[in-house]
Amino acid sequence: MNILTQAVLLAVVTAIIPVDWLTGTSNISRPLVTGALTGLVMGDLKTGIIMGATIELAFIGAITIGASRPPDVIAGGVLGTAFAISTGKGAGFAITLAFPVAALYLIIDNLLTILVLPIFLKKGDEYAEQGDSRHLNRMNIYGFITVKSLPRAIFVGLAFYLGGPVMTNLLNLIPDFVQNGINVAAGIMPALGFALLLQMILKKNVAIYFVLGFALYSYLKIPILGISIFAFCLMYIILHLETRIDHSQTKINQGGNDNEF
Amino acid sequence: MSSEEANKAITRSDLKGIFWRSLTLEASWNFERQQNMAYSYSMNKVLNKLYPEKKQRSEALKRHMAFFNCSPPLSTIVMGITAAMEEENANHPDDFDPESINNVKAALMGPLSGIGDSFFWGTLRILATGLGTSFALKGSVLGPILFLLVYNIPALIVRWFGLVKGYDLGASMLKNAQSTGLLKKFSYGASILGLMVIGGMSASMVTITVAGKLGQGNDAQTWNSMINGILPNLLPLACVLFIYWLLKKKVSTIAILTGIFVFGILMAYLGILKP
Repeated sequence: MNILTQAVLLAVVTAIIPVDWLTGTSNISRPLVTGALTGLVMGDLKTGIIMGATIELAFIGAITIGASRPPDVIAGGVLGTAFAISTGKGAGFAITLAFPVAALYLIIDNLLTILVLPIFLKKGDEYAEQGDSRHLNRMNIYGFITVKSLPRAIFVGLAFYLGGPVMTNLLNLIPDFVQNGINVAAGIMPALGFALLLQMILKKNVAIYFVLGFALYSYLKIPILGISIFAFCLMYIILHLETRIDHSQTKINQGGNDNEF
Repeated sequence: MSSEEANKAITRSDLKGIFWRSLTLEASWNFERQQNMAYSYSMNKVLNKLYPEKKQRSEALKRHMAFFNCSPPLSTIVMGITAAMEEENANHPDDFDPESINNVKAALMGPLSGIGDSFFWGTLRILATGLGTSFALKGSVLGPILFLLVYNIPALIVRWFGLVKGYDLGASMLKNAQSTGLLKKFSYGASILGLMVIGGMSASMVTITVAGKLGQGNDAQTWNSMINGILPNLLPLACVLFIYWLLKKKVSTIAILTGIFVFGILMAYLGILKP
């Protein structure tokens, strides 16, 4: 199989892998799975599975939580495995290549998500205004194809065709401060998500609970699940007390009309 | 009640529709409103049924284009509850405050994500990965297959039952005689829960690290530890509140987003902040 055919096949597989996000975030985009798929395309399933597992363990912390975004595991997993098989250089080589391409594609993915997806979002708003749910539905899928699936496929196909060293050089061309800066920005990014949530629910009479949650984590380091449990108990107690106050007030208001007493 | 027959009701098959569509929750994830388009996609079939009139339908569609972000396997709980609320709104438009729908969404997504992320991402996926890689490292195709099964079977079961239970919970609460009072309480309680979790997440998930040290030698103190000495996680808190203030001033999300990127790169260039 020549390199061009392999590049095209890898691109096709990469276009399909983001179906992860159409199937309930089913994790088929994890290197453990994509390694096997890449191995299948490259004609060496066994090596593909082993490389995939090795890259998986290296990337195990790379998951999306809230608005924070990890290096791209799809580009990293597929290209790392593909280069390891095509060069026969083994697992260490797969991982050292997986990280730069994953970091490089994260930059591209961020740019696409910032610049291209809002076009579909805006269209979607227009269709919502018109009450046109049929076209609104399409925007969800078009956004997926245009931003998540196709560009990744083109990137992976091209990167494989050009070869690993070119990719590493390309990443090295980007100055350190840009990469650091993107990471600094990624650290701040979740703040926007929380501010958007606050905008939806923050009112004066409940603002104190935000402070409480913040202090519980900052001073006592209670994990989020723990804070949820405390919050649930507090909510129960407050609602219970308020119900009792309401009841006693109703009784006072109703006075002599209250048949129960 | 005679109007009972005219009521528009959500059936089991409508819930199935929500279930299948909810699988695309992260298809068009965006920085501005995150999973919103998929959320409205999940709800649209039901909304079409509940609101044959264009004006009401448009209102409902716009409602579900609002910001949404939730751990995917638990997201359907919110969908179920809001489906019941939409049903109530369609049947009794005069006594129902549609704004409460987005209040409930906003309040539930934080706590559910806290639970969902730590269970599904932090526990189940790690378990599945451990099992999967132990086979895969030997080259067995069972590795990836077991990995997918161990993760997805529980996730799909939770997704379906979360939806059904969420709908039942919403519907039973709203059918209660004092439904409006109860709903108000629910909305209030949910915002207590939501705000505490958002407070905690603001501290734990926003990271800003100041580079550089103050003083020299062994006495040197990092700027970062000094700032945290005043109030732990002071900078993340300041960031969240500042962005909240910008949103109140009607600054667009895209402008804020671009601002964060430019700010990050500038601060890294000047060596003030580090990742």
